[in-house]
Amino acid sequence: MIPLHTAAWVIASVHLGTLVRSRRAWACAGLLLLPALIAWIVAGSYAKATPSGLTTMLGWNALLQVSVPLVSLLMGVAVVAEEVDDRTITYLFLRPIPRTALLYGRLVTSVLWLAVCAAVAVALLVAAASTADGSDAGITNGVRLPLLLAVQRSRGLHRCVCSTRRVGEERHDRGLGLHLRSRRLLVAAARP
Amino acid sequence: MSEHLVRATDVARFYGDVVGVCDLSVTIPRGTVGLLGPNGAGKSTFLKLLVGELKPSRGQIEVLGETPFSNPRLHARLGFCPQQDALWEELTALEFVEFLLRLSGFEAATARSKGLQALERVQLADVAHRRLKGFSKGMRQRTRIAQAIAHQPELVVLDEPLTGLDPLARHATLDLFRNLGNEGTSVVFSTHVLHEVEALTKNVVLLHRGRLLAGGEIAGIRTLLDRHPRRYTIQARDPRLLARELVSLDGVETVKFSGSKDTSVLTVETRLPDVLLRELPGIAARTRAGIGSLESRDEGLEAVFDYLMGGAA
Repeated sequence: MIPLHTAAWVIASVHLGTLVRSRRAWACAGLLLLPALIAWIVAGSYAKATPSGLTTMLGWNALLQVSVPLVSLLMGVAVVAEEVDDRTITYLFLRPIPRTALLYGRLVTSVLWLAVCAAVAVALLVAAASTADGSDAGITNGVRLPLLLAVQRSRGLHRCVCSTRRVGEERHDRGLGLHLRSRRLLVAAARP
Repeated sequence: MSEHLVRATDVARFYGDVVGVCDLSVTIPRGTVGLLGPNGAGKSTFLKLLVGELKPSRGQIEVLGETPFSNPRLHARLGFCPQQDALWEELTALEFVEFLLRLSGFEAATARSKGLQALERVQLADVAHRRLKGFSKGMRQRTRIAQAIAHQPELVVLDEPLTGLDPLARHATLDLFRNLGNEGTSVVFSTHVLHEVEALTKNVVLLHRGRLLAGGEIAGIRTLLDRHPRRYTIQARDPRLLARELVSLDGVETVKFSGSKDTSVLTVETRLPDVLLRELPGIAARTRAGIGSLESRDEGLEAVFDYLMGGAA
């Protein structure tokens, strides 16, 4: 049997190529970039917009609360379902590889794709917020936001995959705890 | 090395209330074997059980001496070409075959060269770098065959491999299977066209409604069939003259009239079809009966099954 890491790596490398050409991946990227786009429009057109206001409203409320969970759900579900729906899973299951290699291979690729998209989204959001009045508040939040976002995204994706595998409530509770902690941190950072 | 390719004992597979295969006991020797049956006979289910894609609901199945379900050791020794037209559309033909070869344990460079060789064998070397989404149905079919043979497995299992191929590609693919057989690879393939199997092998397994109908050499099954008369329908302008001559022929058992005023149809049952087909042109010329058409009612596989089922099906 082929070792798990070798098989997962081969699957991940091929899946990355197909992923960047898929509509689902670009739809997810669009969802992540949407708050940043709105931030640019608001920063440019609304004179009273402040960096902290933009990062709180669009960073926390839109990106972390809406885009990230939605994208995690979309990508998490597709980790295995896509192969099943397309009936290409037959080719993979009849090779001498551990079945979990498929899960890990595709998960790594999806996380990588979302990490890149989220990093770009955060960078654009921070840049948009900094143009609002030039104060440091937006930048300060912008340093914390990527860290929180990375934790949030990976937890969200993990929860989504786990729930499809019926892992149970325990991890979900831990993820929720982190979610609440990160919310408190962000709100505190956003305060003047 | 296991003496038999496949040994199934009382194997059954159900999809809820639907029977895929039922109480199937068969031993298949090494070599090339054709799996025959009409649509819904259970061919695909049986092949999926062979390669380990499905687990039997009951009974036991052994392939190359091993239980196939979830058995990576066996998966390394077999290649499977599924019936469904499923491919990773964004990959090129070479990337597709190469990817699956790497999952069979080959290094990147070896996988590439073996992938090219396999595509060459199915005559797709010139389009190896084209994306699969632009491929015709026949090209996609040949790509699927390429991935099944690329890692040079001991056993190649192909589900309806000739579907969608034009006559030239069909001929080339039959040649490929013949060559694989000559190289010592066992081939099990399913089809519902009898003459495709006859062109390739003497060994067949006949399935019908999920059950084994007959298995073994075609000659034996033919002998079984020869016990039953063959039916021919002849459309003629003057069937009475024709019928008078036909009833005196050797082997003819019954001659029946049917049809309208203008054209009548004769249904002839004979145990010696060769004699009928040899003598008919002479009789037609002599009697000037004006034969419009001659059709055999028994060439299809369904008719073969009808006979084997004692006319009950």
